[in-house]
Amino acid sequence: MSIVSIQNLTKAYGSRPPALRDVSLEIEPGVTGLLGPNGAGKSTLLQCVLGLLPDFDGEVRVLGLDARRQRREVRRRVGFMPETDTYLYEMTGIRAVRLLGQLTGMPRNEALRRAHELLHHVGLGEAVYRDVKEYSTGMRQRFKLAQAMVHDPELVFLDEPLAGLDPKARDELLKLIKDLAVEHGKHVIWSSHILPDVQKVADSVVVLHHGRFRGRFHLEDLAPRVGRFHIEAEGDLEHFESALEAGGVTVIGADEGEGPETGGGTLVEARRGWTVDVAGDDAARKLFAIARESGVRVRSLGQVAEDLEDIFLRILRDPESD
Amino acid sequence: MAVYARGYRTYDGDFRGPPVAWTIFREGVAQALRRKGFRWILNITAFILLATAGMIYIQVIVEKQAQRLTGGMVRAQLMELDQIIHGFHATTMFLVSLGAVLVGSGLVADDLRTRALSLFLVRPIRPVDYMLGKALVLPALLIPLALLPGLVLWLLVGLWQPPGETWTFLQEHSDIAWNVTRFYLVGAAQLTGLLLLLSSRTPRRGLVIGLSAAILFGGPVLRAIGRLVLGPIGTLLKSLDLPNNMLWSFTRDRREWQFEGQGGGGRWGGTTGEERWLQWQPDPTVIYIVCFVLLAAGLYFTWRRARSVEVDA
Repeated sequence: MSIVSIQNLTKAYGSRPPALRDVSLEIEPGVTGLLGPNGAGKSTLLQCVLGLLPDFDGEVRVLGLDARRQRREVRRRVGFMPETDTYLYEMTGIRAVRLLGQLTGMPRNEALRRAHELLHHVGLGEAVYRDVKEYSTGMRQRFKLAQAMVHDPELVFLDEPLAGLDPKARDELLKLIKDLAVEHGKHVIWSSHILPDVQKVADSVVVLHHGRFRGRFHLEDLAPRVGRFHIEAEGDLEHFESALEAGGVTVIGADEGEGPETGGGTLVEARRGWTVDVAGDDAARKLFAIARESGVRVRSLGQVAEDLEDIFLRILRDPESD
Repeated sequence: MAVYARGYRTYDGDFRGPPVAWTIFREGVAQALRRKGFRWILNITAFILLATAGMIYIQVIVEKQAQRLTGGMVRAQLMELDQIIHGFHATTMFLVSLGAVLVGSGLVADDLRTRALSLFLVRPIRPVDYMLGKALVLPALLIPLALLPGLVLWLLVGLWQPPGETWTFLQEHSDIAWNVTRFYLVGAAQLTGLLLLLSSRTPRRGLVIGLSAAILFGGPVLRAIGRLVLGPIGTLLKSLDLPNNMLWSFTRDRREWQFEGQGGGGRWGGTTGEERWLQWQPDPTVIYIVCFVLLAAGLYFTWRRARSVEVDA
């Protein structure tokens, strides 16, 4: 069963070209990364799902509820950490989180208790009575996470939660989010364009580009894809590249390369590196064989682990996914 | 166990808190009362009220002494109570306007500037809840500035009557209580409408303060122009002096003392004076229309803001 189901979602701002075009996708339970370059439509998608932008075409269901008609019930069961720098004017952290808890329907005292718990949990225990306006960027990100979780939602939307944080703060917040997902079973939809962070937590990713749904990928599928190598060779490189493709090797990318050139009366042959995918257990042997047959010398050969960035770029490049 | 050592805990309480509009309203009032400027305005108004009450009390004592000396009935004849209250309101009108601008300017603009709407609107809030919560803040804060003082003076004078005559006095002067209430209602509707309208249109609080101050304190100029312009435009211009609308709502039923002073001459001098006076005043019906239009516009734009976070620039 999907936690978010989107059918033919189109959203345009005024007379401008649509920010989302006919997006249809299903998001499964767990942690899902919503990926895309800047301007891909990620934040617009989240805002439509949350009913913050009610004027859209298409159908959106969240936790089995119609996001347009049952907006209030949806909002009671979800939390949202916005990307923008947002706070409540002239309010301390504790007061702001308590108020936002009350606005979800929690009684005042319960909301106050939860606000204390959450602010301590996210590491703002020493700053609960400080005005949110005085918080640093990292503290504000933590504050935004606390307010998103104050009513203990089943599903939490995080819009660029680690933006603007230093590495230490990123790690800490990442740990908190991972803890919520793994230890407390919260479903997380994480919108980001910082792929390594998402890779650390997400179960699957959904890719948006130019307002369109471009593909989906389960991160567990990264593990078996170990047949990626970086091979550097010198000699007749053009022949070698075509031999690679003829030999069933997928060329993922090529370095710029250097040569051929003469220097000090010596001919320096052309040298270049490729990132390739090779199927099978004897991949290295196969690459050496192709090199030998092509008459090039292998200068280096190493295994490359595939990461989310490769998947992301491949999905974006793939014309089929348009 | 200390709260910080508990880690994340699930919430198993209920979601049957008070209505959301009430929470927004309550927070708005609390936030206004935390502002030093507004607290000063409350204190100054309270001081003027005490001073006015003190003067009335002295008048009561003096009149009682005079009547005792002359052997007359011991009874405070405060026929000018409405004039005293009018004087109080005219004195504190600047404070009422200033307080309204100070508090009302940020009602929605602060949420727009700090992007707090995206935090509010992901809660189970209807646009009408947000609108109502915001719209009730200013009327509540105007109660101690524009409603209670007049009613307190009316009650005090009633209490200072001879034993057994308090109720009679209050009944005889019940129109004062109604006029004070009308003064407050017109003020609350106008000021709430104006400030919600401006505050929901821009995130810049300074701009809202500037515009609303210009409208409130530039009203007499509009009224002066309106006096010279014939027809509906003149009537409309005269009704755009919002503070005067409030005062006129208080005095219009008892305007005889505006121009019938001692000996019938008065401040404006007889019938001609009355005509001149009335030329300066707007039609009461137009005042109500202005109140309605301002309030409706303010409520509509606030409601619209709470519908979506989409910038409708």
